[in-house]
Amino acid sequence: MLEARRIDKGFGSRLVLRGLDLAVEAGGHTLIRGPSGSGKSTLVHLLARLVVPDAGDLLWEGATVKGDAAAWRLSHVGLVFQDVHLLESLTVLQNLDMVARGAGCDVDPGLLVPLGLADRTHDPVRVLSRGERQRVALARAFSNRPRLLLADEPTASLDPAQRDQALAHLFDLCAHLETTAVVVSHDSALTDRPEWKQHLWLEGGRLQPARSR
Amino acid sequence: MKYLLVWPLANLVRAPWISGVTVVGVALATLVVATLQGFVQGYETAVAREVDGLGYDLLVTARGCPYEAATLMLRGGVGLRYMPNGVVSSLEADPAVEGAWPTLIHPVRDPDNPEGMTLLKGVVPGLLGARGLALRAGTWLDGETPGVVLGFEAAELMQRHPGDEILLPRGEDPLVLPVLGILERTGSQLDGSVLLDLVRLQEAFGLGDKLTGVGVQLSDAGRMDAQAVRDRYEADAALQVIPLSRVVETLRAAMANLRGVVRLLSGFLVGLAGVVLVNTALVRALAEHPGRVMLHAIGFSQGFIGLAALMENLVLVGLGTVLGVGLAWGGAGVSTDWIVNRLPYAPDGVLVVLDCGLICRGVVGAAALGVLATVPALVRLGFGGSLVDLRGR
Repeated sequence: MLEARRIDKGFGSRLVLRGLDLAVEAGGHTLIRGPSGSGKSTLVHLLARLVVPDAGDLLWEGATVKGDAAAWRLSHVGLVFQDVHLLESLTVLQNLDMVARGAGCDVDPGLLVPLGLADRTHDPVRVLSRGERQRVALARAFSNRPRLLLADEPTASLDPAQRDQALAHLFDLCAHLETTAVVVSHDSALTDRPEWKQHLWLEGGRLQPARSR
Repeated sequence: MKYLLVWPLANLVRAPWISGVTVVGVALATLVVATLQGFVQGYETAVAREVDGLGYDLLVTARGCPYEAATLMLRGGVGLRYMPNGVVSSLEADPAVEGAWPTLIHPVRDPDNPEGMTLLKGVVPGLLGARGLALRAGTWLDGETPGVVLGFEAAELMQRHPGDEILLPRGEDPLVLPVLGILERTGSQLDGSVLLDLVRLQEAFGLGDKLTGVGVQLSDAGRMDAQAVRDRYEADAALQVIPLSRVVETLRAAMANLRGVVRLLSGFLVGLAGVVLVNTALVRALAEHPGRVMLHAIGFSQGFIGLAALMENLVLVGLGTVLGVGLAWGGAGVSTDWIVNRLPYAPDGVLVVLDCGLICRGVVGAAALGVLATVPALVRLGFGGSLVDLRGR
């Protein structure tokens, strides 16, 4: 489904990713962990084509994605950012609806039900707690019915109970919408989930199978 | 797309003070600019209408202050000096003169308002045809029948109709005369006048054969050499001659100066409004930038995001412009009163005129300001580490 081949990416004189290889199969939920500053967010941005690699190839369904990267993301990719970044002036449902409409599909308010936000649908997102906002961001990432979910520290601002709940919902929604998740995180508590088909460790600009750390 | 409007509107509602200040700033600038521009336009039209309504080529008056004479010509002013006898017969005998219409202006206390004054205007019967006047009701002065003819506004103000009586204060013995007729609106000073037969006015108020002015219409030959005619009568030390062309030229020059000042002032105000707008747009661009970057990261095009930012500013300047133009429109009467009270001479009617052309220019200007105010957001979006803005807040 998604493949990165011999990717190099640097900023100035610092090479963050060196000859990185990654292959994600459909349904092969992937957890990528690594120490702070190892390039996890950069990798997410690369996979989402928000930045261009200095060298190497990014393939989607076996081919290089041509044309407008933004349109490709809106059609195929759901994104969860480390900092939630909701549209503060809109309501919960409008945040989802805007992305759904942008992708040409109808919004599904049902996405909010398993996340415990069914009664907050018409509240402005600015009145929500940090945990609630994180869950709205998760629901928004699924509102364009993506085939691939790219999540950068999706549980960073949640307490352990909320984190477990959010992960459960994430996998439920992935199962419901046949979405494949690629999650990067520094949080070792995420490793316990049985849904991961790959668990990788990013260090020194390369990915390798993770051992228990 | 629905959110091209919903999102910008929600952004504006979310920051009501910033949005409100911007709208009020644009509205005030629009109000002042539209009123000034509308005034220049309306004033020019009103002066032209009043000058056209005079129907004379020259006005011969007693020698005195030229401004007083000009006021007398345009407004029937009250700085009265009387003409020497015999000037009318000299004018009538002059081959360069097609017609001469003597006038006597006499102020009396307003019969309906003891603190006000009414100007009685003694005229000759031939004035009706010479000036191309039309009667709305009743009959014109015939030199025989006692009575008055009211200008359109004077009749409205006094609530008189043909056949009603009008009382003109005259010491212990007020003069009561019937209203013979009412003139159609002329757009000139005649609208507010009470017209009497010249001789009857002179007799009734003991003014002998005094005159305050003679309106002169030149023959074609006289017009060819108007300066010579003027010089001939100016040679009389008791007379001064005011050519209509000079009044028009003076007013045109004054209007040109006024236009220049108004343009300068308008440019300054529009610039000031632009600075306020760009400043608040900058504040909003900073506040909304992470959201815009996030939308682009999700997959919305920069075109969509830029269009939404433009829409936000267009809504702001649009509201401000509509409010400003509305206030200028609704307050045209008040503005006219305010301006008239500060001018030495002002023609009748509403002087602040907002027409379609002026409103269209306002809309185009507002749209340009809206585009200008969008630049900071576009610059923020187009250049500068957008992904950095998604991290580490």
